[in-house]
Parts: sequence; C-alpha cells; structure tokens
Amino acid sequence: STTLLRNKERPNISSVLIANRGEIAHRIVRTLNKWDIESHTVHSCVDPRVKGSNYTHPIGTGPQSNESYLLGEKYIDLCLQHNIQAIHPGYGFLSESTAFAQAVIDAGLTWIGPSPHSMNLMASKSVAKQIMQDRGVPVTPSYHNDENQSYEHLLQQAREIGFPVLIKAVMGGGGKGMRIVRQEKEFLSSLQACQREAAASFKNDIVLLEKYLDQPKHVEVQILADSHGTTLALAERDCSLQRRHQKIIEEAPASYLSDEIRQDLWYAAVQAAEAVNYVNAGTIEFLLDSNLKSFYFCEMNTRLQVEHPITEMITGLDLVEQQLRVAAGERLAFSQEDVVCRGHAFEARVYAENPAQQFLPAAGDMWYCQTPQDGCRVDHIPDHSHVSVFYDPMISKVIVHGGDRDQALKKLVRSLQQYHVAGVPTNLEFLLKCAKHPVFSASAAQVHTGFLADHPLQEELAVKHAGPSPLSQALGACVVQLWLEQRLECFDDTSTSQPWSNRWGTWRLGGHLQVRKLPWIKDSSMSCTYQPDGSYQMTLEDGTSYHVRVSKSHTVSRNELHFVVDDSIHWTVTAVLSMPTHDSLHVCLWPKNHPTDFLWEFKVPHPYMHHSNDGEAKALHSGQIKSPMPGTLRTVECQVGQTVVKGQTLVVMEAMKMEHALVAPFDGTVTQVWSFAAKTVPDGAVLVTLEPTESTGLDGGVSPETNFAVQ
Amino acid sequence: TSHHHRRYYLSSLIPPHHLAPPLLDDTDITQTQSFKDSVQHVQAQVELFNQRYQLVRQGGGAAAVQRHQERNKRLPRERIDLLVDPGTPVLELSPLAGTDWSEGTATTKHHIPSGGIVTAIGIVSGTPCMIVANDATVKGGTYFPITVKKHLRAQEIAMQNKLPCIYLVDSGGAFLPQQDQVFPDRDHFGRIFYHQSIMSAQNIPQIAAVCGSCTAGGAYVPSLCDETIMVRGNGTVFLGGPPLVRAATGEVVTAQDLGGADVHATRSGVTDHIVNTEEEAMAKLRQIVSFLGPQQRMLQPTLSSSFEEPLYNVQELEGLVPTDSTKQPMDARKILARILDGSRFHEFKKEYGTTLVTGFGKIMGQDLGIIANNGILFSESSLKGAHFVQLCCQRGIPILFLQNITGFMVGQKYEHEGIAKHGAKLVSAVSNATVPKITLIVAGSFGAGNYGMCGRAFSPRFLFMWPTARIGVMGGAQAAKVLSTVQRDNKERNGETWTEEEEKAFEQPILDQFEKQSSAYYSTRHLWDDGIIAPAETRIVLGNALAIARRVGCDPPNATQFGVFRM
Repeated sequence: STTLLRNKERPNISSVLIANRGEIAHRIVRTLNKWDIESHTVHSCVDPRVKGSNYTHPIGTGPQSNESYLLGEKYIDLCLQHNIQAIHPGYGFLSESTAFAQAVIDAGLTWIGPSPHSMNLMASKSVAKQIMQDRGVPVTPSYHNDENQSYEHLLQQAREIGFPVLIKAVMGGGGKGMRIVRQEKEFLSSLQACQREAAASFKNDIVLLEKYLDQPKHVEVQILADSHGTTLALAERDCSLQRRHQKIIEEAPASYLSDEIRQDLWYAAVQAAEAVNYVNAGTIEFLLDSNLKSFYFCEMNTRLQVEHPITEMITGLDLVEQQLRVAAGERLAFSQEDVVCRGHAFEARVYAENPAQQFLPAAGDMWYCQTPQDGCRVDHIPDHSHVSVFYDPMISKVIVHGGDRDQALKKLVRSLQQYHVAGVPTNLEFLLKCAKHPVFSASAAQVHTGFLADHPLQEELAVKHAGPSPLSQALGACVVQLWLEQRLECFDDTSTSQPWSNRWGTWRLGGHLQVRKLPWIKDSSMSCTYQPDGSYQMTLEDGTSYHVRVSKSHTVSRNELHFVVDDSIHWTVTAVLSMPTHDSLHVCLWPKNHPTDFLWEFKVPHPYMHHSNDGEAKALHSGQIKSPMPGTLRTVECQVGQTVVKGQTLVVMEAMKMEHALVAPFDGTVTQVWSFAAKTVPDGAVLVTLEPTESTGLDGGVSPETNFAVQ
Repeated sequence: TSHHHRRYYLSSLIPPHHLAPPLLDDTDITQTQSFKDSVQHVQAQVELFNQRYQLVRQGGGAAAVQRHQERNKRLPRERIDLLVDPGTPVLELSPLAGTDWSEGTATTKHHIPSGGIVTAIGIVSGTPCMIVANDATVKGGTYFPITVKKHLRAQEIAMQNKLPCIYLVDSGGAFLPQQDQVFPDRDHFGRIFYHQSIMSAQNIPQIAAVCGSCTAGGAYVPSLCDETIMVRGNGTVFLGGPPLVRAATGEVVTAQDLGGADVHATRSGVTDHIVNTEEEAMAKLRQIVSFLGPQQRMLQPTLSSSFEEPLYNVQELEGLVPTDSTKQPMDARKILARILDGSRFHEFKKEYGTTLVTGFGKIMGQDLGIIANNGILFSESSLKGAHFVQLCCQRGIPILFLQNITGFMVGQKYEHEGIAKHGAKLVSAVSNATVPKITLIVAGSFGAGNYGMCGRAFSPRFLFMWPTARIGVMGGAQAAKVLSTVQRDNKERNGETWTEEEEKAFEQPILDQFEKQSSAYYSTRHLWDDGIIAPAETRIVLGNALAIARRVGCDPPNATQFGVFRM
C-alpha cells in the first residue's frame, strides 16, 4: 500500500533555498535532488558548504546565529537575486518565525510551511490552548495571561493549579525557558531563571503556568494538511525518553496504545490542526497520562520536526516531498485510509556532549567518524567533521526500521555499537545504555518523561570514565606501540622480514628484549617489552601483566585489529589514533560487540616527544577558574577582594545555548576577575583567580573539569 | 609487487631469482647423531656468549650504575633505545671488546666491559646512523686503548659506509695511567678528531649530544661536530676541569659556570641546542637527523618488498658446526641453504676448484656474491676465487666471505705449480675489490687462508664470528709441532737427546697459548672482529649489514682497479 502513496510527478516547484544548516539542510537537499529541484543552501563563515546542493551561498557576517542563520532578509535577498522560488526553513532558526514567513510571502516567494496566521496562533501557547479548549481538544489546567505577569499573581495562580507546576516561556520551545516547580519556595528563583532565559532566547519574558503531570508520556501526532481542506494524521510518535525535556530516543508508533485511544488521539490532532486552518506538515504534542488513556494537548509545532524520519519510516512517505507538494498547492494524493503504518521505527539523536559530565555540550573536530554500516539511515551534519561551538551540538540522527519493536530496537543497538566517533565526546554510549535498558526494551509503555531522572544512567558512565580497565590500558598501549613502529598498517603482512624492518619485533643482538617505559594516563606508566616474535608484554604499574599479540588475520578492515591477549582472550577492536598536539596522543578503541564496554579512550603523552612543560600541566588546581569551552560571559557574580565559599557561583557563562555556572573549587578570596570588554571568551580563558583561604588550602584532586555545574 | 612490472622478464610466472635452484640436503640431517651433538655443543657456546653479553650490558657494575642513574642519567644502551626509531633493529658492534674472561665470568682488572663504549648502527628518523655512546659507568667513560680502538673502528665503518655519526658523549677523556697507549700514536686518541674532521668534509654528518662530562681532549668531540646538543645540568664541556683550572691559574669556578650547557649555548657557542633531559636530547637528535638533507635520503637502503625465507630453519646452522671444527669438515652448501633466500644458489664453476664454493644468491632480497671455503685452498680454487671477485666487482654485487679455512695447500707439487702466485691473485683481487665485502668466520681462520678470504687486514666492511670460530696464524697443534721440530733439530745438531716427555712439556705452553689466543673471545676482546654472533642470528645480522654496506660501492661504473696479477 505504501506504493499508493508514492507520487510519480515531480512537485511543481523549480527551486528551493534552505534557510538552515546541519543535518536538516542535508536531508532537505536529498529530497530536492531526488526530484531534480534546484537546491540552494547557505553557510555561515564557520560552516562548511553543504555538499550535494546545487548552489551554496555564504550568509551573514559572523558565526553567531543572529549574524548568520537568523538573518531573514538575507534569504529573501538571495531568492530574489538568484530567482529562487521557495524557502524551506527546516527546524529551529526561523522555522517558527511568523514575521519571516510573512516576509517571504510578501516578497512573492513560496513559503514551505504553514500560513503565518496559523503559526501565529500556535506560537503563543496561551492562545493555542484557548483555541484547543474551544475546539474540544483536551487541555491541562493552566494559567495564561500575557498582561498580568506579576510575581504575586503568578504565585497565586500556581497555588490554584496546585504544585507541581510547570513555568513555561510563552514563546519557548525545545526545552528552553521551562522550569518545573515542585514546591512553593522554589517558585521565585525558577520564575526568574525562566524569564531570564526567555528574554535572552526569545526577547519575550512572558510565561505561562501549567499543571505538571507526574510521570506523563510524550506522544505526538504528525499531521499533514493541504490547502484544499484535507488534514491527515500520519500516525503518532512516542518521544517520552527525555532528559531535561530534550528528546533522546523517539519511536513510532506508540505501540502500547489501544486502537481506540489511538483513533481518539489522531482525531484530536486533526481537530487541533483544523482549528487554526493549518496547512503543511505539523505536529501536535500531547501529554499522555500514565494510565495510557487520558491525554492533553500540549503544544503544536508548526514546522518539520527533528524526529520526522521515524514517521517516514513507518508510513513510507517522504515528508519533505509532501511539504513541497502542499506548498505548491497540490492536493494530497492519498486519504486517511491509505495511511498504513508498517513495522516500527526508532530515532536516536547523537550529540556532541559529555554524559559523564552532566551532558556538557562539546564542540570540535571529529577526527574519526565511522557511521553504522548497514540497515540504518543516518541523517548527519556535513562531512561528519566539525561540531561548531556556535550552534546546536547535534551530530546526527540514527534512524532504524524493523518489522516490530523488538527487531527495530535490536537494529538500533547494533547501529549504535557500530557508530564510532573520536575527537569530541558523544552521547553514543548513553544512547546505547538507554536502548538496552530493560524497562525501555521491554515496552515503551513504562517510559515516562521523567524516566531518566529516576534512572540516572549517566552516573554509571561517570563511574566507568573514572579510569579505563587494566586490560583496556594494555591494549591502548599496544596500539600506541604498533603506531610508533608503523606496524598498524602492515601487521598482516607476515611473509617477509626485511633488514632493518620492524617485522622482527625490535631485534637486538643476542635476542635481548627491549623494554620501554611508556608514560601513560595520569601519573602511571607502563612498561612494554618487545618480544622477538613481534608481540608485546605489557606490564602495568600495579604489576598486572598481559601478553598482547596482533593476530594476522586478513579479514579485518583497516582500523580493526584482532588482539590475542595471553593466548586465550580474543578481541576485535576498532582502534584509531591521532596526535592533537606534537607531544600527545589520543587513542580510541571500540571493542566489537562487547557487552560491557563501549569506548576506551586515552589521552597520553607521546613517548618519543619531550614534555618540558610537564610541571605546569600537572599542577593541581591553581585557583584559576577557566572557561570550560568557548562561550559568552553572562554574569560575573563576584568581585576582586570578595571572600567566597566552595561551591559558590562565581561566573555564569552561556555556551552551546546553555547556561553554565562556574563555582568556587574551594573557600578563598577572589584576586582577579575577567576584566576585558569582550564578553565572548575562548576555551580555557582564566575568568576568575582565587586564592585559597589559609585553613582549607588546596585539597588535591579538584580538577578544573569538575568545577562547573549546569544549571 | 614491483618485479612484475619489469620488462626483461623471461617469464612472468617465474621471477628471475627463482630461476636459481635451491640447495637441497640429500637426507634429513637433523636426525643424525653428529647434528644432535653439534647442536648441543653450539648451544652451550651460544649460552656462554649470551651470559657474557648480559654481564657487559650491566656496564661498570651495580654501584656505578646506581650512581649514574641517581644523576638522572641513562645507560648507553637505554639512550640508544630512546634514540632509534621504535620497532627497528639495532646492530650493536663488538659488545665483548675489552672483556677478559680468563677467570670465568668474574671481572679482572683488565676487564673493561664493552671497552667502555657502545657502538651500534641504528635507524634514526629513517636514516641509518652510527651511534657511539660512552659508558660512564665504566671508569667514568675514560678512554682505554681498547676504547680508542673501538671508537676508531666505529668511525671507520661510518666512513666506509657513509653513515652519519651520532656521539652520545659522557667521558672523562683519556685513561691517564695508560696515556702512552692512548695518546701519541697514529691510531690513538687524536685519530678520533682526525676522523671527525675528515668525515665532516666528506659530507658525513657529525652530531653530538653531551649527556655528561666531556673533558680535555674529549671536548673536541662536540666541538668538531656539525651540530651539538647539551643536556642542562649533567652536560659539561671544558678543556680543563675546575681542579686543573685552580691548579693552573688559581681561578675557582664550578663545573657549570666553567662549561655547562647554558654557558656553551649562550656565550661560547660550543653547543647549538640546550635540552633539559636526555629524553629531550634524543628527541632533538631525531629532529636533527630528519634535516640532514637530500644526500642522506639518497643513501636510504632500498629494500625489495618481498622475498623468500630459506627452505630450512636458520636455527639448524647450530647442527652444522662440527664439535671439533679444526679437524672435521663442514659443508658450505648446507650453511648457504640456511642463510640464502629460498635456499637458492646460482653456483659458479661448481666442478672446478671444488674446495671453494662460489656463486650468487640473495639475503632478504639483496644480491650477494658468495665465496665459501669447503676445504683447503688449492691453486684452482684460488684462481676460481679471483675470477669470481672480478665478476662481483664488474657487476657491482657485494661479496660475502664465508671463512672456514686452515690455509693453502703445502708441498712440493703445489709450490711447483705456483700456489704462491695463484694465492696472491686471490689476495690481490680481494684487496682491490671496492664492492662491499662482508666476512663471516664460521669455523677456522688460519694462515694465509685468512688473507685470501678477506680477513681483518683486507678491510671487509663488517667481520663477524660465530662463537665456535677460531683464528690464528696456524692451529695450536701445528704451531707446537713446527716449533718442537725446530727445537728437536737444534738439539740433535748439538748431539743432545730429547725425550717424548720433554717434547710434550715443550709443546704444552705453546698449545695453551694458541688455544687461548685462537678463541673467538680473544679475537673480539682485541677487536679483531665486529662482534660474535649466534649462528641463528646469522641471517638477520648479514641482512642488516648488507643493507648498510651496499648503499656505497655497488653503483656503476665499477670503480675497482685491479693490480698486476702475477700470471
């Protein structure tokens, strides 16, 4: 039946400008290319050109979003200049800007999205909710009044709704500008934080209050409406697996729903869309009570969603293509009866972030990236190379489809295991832990939006990352040796033993074995004894010793090494190595299909390079509070001469669209504070210098990395 | 592989070097009693060698090593390990030079472990280099006569093979009590500096890292180098140390203020780089070698990408050495079958002069002409050898001399047919051959046979010995017999009688002397060779040595100018 949904005619649009970046720009280009529609993409001064698009245009003057991707008039100028017919906004950036949509239409261009009118109605959550209530779509008890935003009044309203209460920025979305308040005494601080974030992000600090459902599920319905009065529900998605309102793994359909509830849900979604005369693709989000029966309208996203591919997987539709058709004024070529869901799909969002450190967003060059091999779709950023500090740190989306939920989940697990990224920390292992969690893998029904708060999987990761296992250290050291000896590329070539070659395993007269001390992680070292047969005996500082040999299999691929440890343990390991600085090495190992370990990562001093500055690097916390990443200085909450206590917030930074509080690592006196006019600070900038109070001193082991807490 | 692309192939299926037939044993010799006896005998010898090597690796003893290490200094072999490219071999030369084992493995006052200096060929930044490292744990790294000789020999090898020299200096200069044997003569201390100067002029880079003291004459080692590194703290360079300065001029100065790294880097200009640690020094040396320029890169060994291993295990060489190699013959072809690629041997003049085996083969893909003794030398075998030397020179192919020779045939018949002039042809050809020559003494090396088979005096690029080898002007028994015959003649002329007991008593000290002086250990102690090697390591040592040697002297046009051959 999916073939019925497939149009043969090309959408009646000649050219499209994608007002976006990253994976979604890529994804849209793919559909445009499929239909041979001229594609135009943009890139800021720090982004690469989008490969595969017919034309790429630089945009803006600076890297920040408001200097580049948020410059609406530039897109319109580009369209007029290059005679581009339509604009696709993707998600994020200007996708939900009514003003931009209107400007596009006013310029005589085609806007691939809903009308500004319906966008406007849905943009304000309070207005949207009222409309839904009027239409008979169930909504949660709440307070929304743009006029009266006084603290006392809001508090009074919160009391009436009853705690827990959710404070939401009216213009907010995507987890930003949202706070849960469980107790009345937290209300003020949460309200202020929410307003501050809302003001910064949306230039509008108006908030609404809402009943907070305990353990609800997040279920959303994809709808698609044409301009001829047809509105269809394209099945639902379950996005309950969230961490702090950020979706982690989404799936479609919500297989635990009864047919009756599902029909109600789809009906409500269609009603909601029709209430605002919605045209094009959109999503109605509902909160589903833990009884799996009652649901409440939450909000409508008037754009293509990040997780749209799972709907594509089960319906066989190309949603971007449908968007193009709708925008071109076509009628939908199928009816609600034609929408048949096949199998089950998952999407996992791969982010550059560090789960072991409170999911601190990361940026940088991915010097190695191997995407899963087969049976899965990966929508990823261009080149898989660089995660920019200026934008969302999403690397890609892993999308799988299977006959049923179990099959699809198995595929997801396999794909995540095969996904190897080195250079930036990722949430891949965290995703894998989520996917393999017994509750999640048994059924989606038990997973509510607070599931990860109740099951903090990241804590296990933090423990694991405290130190690699002795065996993994030995294998890592072995990889370093193979690399130093230039044997990584040729270890399978066993037939010859050239003079002066490394094939002899570091030959010495009289069969004397060479022992080399390797400087290894932290202060430990490891000795490596070359064996005459080319194998190594790796001895750790604690005396643990492993005999490690790379077996000579011709079947393994370039980065895959087969290790035989102590003649009995066999490991197939993907091993990659880079030299980030002239005197250090970065080794990453992924044991293949290993049940407990995912990634072994080492940053070690280069055993052949000298380290004159060792002393400096090894110093314990110097009292210098440094920026953990490039970002913007939001507030400085201390001044020179001030006495501060351990844990006190000194500086609030904004980076990667999140606020980070840098706190005092010990009790002390502030001796220096960032005094430059520039508020954009580079990675590692000394923001505050602290002198310890005599009595406490420096209790060693406080590393700069552990000093910040994410608000 | 590359050989498939060459056009002049007879057959694309058979690479040319496969056209040479392999040397095959007629029977499985490993099952014979004599093979088993030999293995036992040789393995005991190898074990002894390894024990002794292990001892010299400990330098000047535990106390000296500890003092050395307490100053954050590394042992010379550790320095070399840090210096060379990871995973590459190191060919250490004459590790047992200067060693005296007359009282077992206990050291005597004449015992200078490794001669107080470690010399080795290693690959640094992809370039083969001669590394000369003083061992300060042996009498402060001072130069004994053997130290000077070993240093000079390393420089000679470097000069002949165009190897950049890296000096890891840590020496107190000449050993004063023996100044008469290290200072004045031509091949004494001064010759080191003469060599450095000459080599630098020949574009053979001279590089030093001063890891310790570098006093008096020793100060010229870094000063004469093209590029020099000093280790801050431990490294000092001065013509006269603080005590001498005080005695001479009354000036009181610390070693660091007199000639430390900072002084020489900032004021005197004696050094070009300062480093804080020996690790840094080795890293800096590798940087220096990586910038030696195109001339050095052109001297990289070119290696064939694939070759065959011998058909027989190289370890079986142990079973080929007769328990009494001076009396029992040894089959040269069986040795070659365990050394050459694919055991293949293109034999030359197989049916003529059969006591000398000549022919071509390969070691690790490298062309090689082989001249191997298979009995004593006759006129024909000498002529055949001289002919073969000329072939190798004309073709630019290095020659391996496999020595197992008691000498030339004697007797009226042979003198009359002119064995002296035929032997002279061989000696003359070998002397003048400019292709690389490498000599391996597997058993005996006696008399003029040593000359004809490229003994030390004939400047082979490398000369190695198996631990079972013996060397001397003649065998002890023959020498004793010659001397006792002369003695008996004298006595009989004077009408005296000489009992058999008296004769035995006369012969015994001669036998003892020859026994001692003919051993491989005596040879290597006096640096008559470049080291004792275990039979099982023959292939890798020869392969490595050949890769170094054939970089120089094989390129056309053939430079050899032979002398007058007495016809």
